[in-house]
Amino acid sequence: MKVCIAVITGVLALLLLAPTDALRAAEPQAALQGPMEEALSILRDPQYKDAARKTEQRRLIWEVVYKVFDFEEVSRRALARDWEKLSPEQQEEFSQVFSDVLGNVYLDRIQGAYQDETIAYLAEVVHESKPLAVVKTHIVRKSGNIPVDYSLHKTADGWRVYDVKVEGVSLIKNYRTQFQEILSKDSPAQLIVRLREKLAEQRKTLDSQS
Amino acid sequence: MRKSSVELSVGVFVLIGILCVGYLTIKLGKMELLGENHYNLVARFDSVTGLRVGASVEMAGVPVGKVAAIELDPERLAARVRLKIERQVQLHDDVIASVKTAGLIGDKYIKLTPGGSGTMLEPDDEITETESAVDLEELISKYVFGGV
Repeated sequence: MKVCIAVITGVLALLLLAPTDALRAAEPQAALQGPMEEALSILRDPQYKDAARKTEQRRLIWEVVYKVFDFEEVSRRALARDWEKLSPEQQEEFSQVFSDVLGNVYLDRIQGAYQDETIAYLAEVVHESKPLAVVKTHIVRKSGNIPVDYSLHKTADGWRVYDVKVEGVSLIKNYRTQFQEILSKDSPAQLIVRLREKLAEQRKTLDSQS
Repeated sequence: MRKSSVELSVGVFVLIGILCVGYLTIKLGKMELLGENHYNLVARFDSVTGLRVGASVEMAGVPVGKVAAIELDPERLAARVRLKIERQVQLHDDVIASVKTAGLIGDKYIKLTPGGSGTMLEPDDEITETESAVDLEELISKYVFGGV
């Protein structure tokens, strides 16, 4: 009798698990699509047309987009073997500064050159054995589509982006080679100082614009 | 008695000849008979246009392996490339494999950009981070003439 009950609960548990598994498979794209649509709607919002409100619009978009990315993983992968050479405090500082620099670079592109582009979601490929996924998208614009692939990995807080490939060129690869070159001559502390300088430069051009 | 010693020396001579031919075949054909000092890795690319079997796999410009096979993954319709990597070259699982061109219009090869995740790739594992061949002509036409 006990065995019978155990088997039945086992089967029931499996049945309950099955649909959530199917839902989970659809997750990477959903994790990306929601915030991206939100960011696009802020971008389109006519109330931010005024130049004085651009900074606020920028802040709002960044708040939405920031949550989609796992910047610690981005930093870890960009630094590769050099990541371990950083002290935990430096690692945290680096992720913070690097994410701000990246954010500024991309927000400049998005905000400065937005011409009613939309995002088309083409495919979602989840890896069979590892908690990794790729969401393939196109930025649809008048002058042709730009393929953008997002690589996501599963974290405790759901699927997060750790790499973006635009036209097949990886963001991580780009920074990994640059950081490697810098760190072969300079110390990690100097790299953080360089990033801070870059950030200050970005902020200055931003202030002069608004 | 004399006849048999002549036959013996001819036999030995032919045997040495055959061994030499065998050695040359293996050396020149770049085949490997014994000593598996390589291990296999798999990488999937969206496109490997121009890449050939036997193309070299390089890290920091140093050849560390070869492309052993290129086949189509029927499920994803992507290219699945089998790489033969020298055994002493250990790779972390966040290594990036990119299809690159030697020079502007040269042969295609695979470039490995080492990672540092701490998890090593075992034989027959997959390199998940890949960059496909960039089609220069397509890019130029897209950004020069624009799309429709």
